[in-house]
Amino acid sequence: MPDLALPLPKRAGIGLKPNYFKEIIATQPDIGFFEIHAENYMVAGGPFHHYLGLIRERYPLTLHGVGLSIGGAEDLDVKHLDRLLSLIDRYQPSFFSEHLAWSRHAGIYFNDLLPVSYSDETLHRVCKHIDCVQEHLKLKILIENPATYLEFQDSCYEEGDFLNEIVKRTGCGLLLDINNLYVSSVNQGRDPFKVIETMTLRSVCQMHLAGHVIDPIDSSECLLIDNHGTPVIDPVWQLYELALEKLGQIPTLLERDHDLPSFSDLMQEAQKAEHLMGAGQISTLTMSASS
Amino acid sequence: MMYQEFATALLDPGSSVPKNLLWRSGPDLHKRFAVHRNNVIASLIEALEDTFPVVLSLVGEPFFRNLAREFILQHPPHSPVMVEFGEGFDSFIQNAPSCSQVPYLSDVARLEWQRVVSLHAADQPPIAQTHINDLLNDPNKLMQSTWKLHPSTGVFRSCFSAISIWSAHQLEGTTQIEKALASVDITIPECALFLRQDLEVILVNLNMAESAFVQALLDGNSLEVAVEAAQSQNDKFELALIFSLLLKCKAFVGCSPHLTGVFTQ
Repeated sequence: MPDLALPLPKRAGIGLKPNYFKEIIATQPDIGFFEIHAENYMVAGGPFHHYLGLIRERYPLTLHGVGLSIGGAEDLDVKHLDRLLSLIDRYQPSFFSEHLAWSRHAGIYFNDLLPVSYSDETLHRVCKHIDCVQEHLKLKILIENPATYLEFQDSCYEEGDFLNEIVKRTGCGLLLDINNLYVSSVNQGRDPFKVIETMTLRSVCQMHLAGHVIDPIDSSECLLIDNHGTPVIDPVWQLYELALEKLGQIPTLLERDHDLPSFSDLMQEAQKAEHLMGAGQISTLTMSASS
Repeated sequence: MMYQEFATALLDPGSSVPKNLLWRSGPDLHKRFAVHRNNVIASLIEALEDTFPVVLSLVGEPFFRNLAREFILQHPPHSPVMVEFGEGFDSFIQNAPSCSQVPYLSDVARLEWQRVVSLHAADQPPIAQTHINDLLNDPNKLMQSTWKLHPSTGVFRSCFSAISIWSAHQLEGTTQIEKALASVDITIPECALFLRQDLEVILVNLNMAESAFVQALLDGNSLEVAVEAAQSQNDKFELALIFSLLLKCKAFVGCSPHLTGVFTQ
């Protein structure tokens, strides 16, 4: 299964939002790439395509899907796959990624990334769906580890093992969302710094960094909510550093979907990620020189 | 895992959490499941708030959220493309007893929906002037011709002053908006042409005859039939005014000398 377009530079990227279109075109910021939510661009014409076309001329792009429902019980939506295919043909992204989650059932789209049980039955179905997506789109896709709040009685794999099995069976790559790994581990009463040590990460092609909050509905017991509405917190940066130590430099996206700050605030977070990536490279070089 | 049970419980806050879940420690299953219940409803309400900002502003956040929640439960989305979610919200408002005190609300919602549809409509270049010169020089041929309008073009009609109400909300600051709203007589019917220009949807006020003319063209009628439709509203209808407006707005993307002819792009 081929990768797409040009390889993504080992730099930081920013989630592209319409609020930033004009500033990006006017100032041409020094950033590695942009990422879009595919579903936001599944429209016929108008300003979204106009600006995305101009930005794509200058920057590499990754496409991130939220609506394929790969973990769902039902067959994939072929119309949706076709719309994805035309976006991919038009914009030639470096990667297309989706979530290990479901969002559609019995014709209703829930607009949330809902959890799956880590059972053999789910594994079989998820792999079948990924095979189908990769065949339809004719490319290797990336699967993202989810932010979870729930576990299922019939799960018989650890999340990392489940993802590794998916990679082994389908040949897809992984999008390691550091914030999701942190949120899920804490929510399941696990230490994220130990969880990452147990994961096989060699298939990771891209990383995500984002902010989360403590459950605003009830903060008495610590349930972390992946809201993409706040800056990345220090422990997530530390987990990112650990991931960089294990993986070396990996293209990393700063995700921000709510309470959008100024573009320069996001640039600062992206620069921090690039600084850490550079530091990772130096320590790797030092390590190999001394070994 | 039981997807149907999970899906049903998501949209019914009164139902118990799905049985197949596991609790080890920390927050109980009800609180954990509530995260997804909240994500579903809150994110869909947010999608409606993005599409209907003036409706939101007119009724205030608490009222809007209740209205949106009811709409979502009765008409949940079927597509992950969120700009497609919100179709039918105007009819829902029109039939909602809680909105009966705000008779123009449904029309404002319809205007906001039509603007979103227009904003994302397909791109198409305007017709080249050279292609229409022949028609413009031959009045008989011109009247028999049919004209294709840009995909973002439409006519909006309201029995209330929905356009003035919407326009007032485009001003900066509460004082300016309130001042503009104070001068609106909501009982005056309004019509407008809308289409995309320079990546933004513009509204141009029309009279009833002009709106009948544009609607007839949108329906695929010849210029002659469109003029008749306009004159049935007002016999003093002036073709030159509206036709030059449409030309100026680059609203025409094709024309054909015959009713069933092939459009010249």
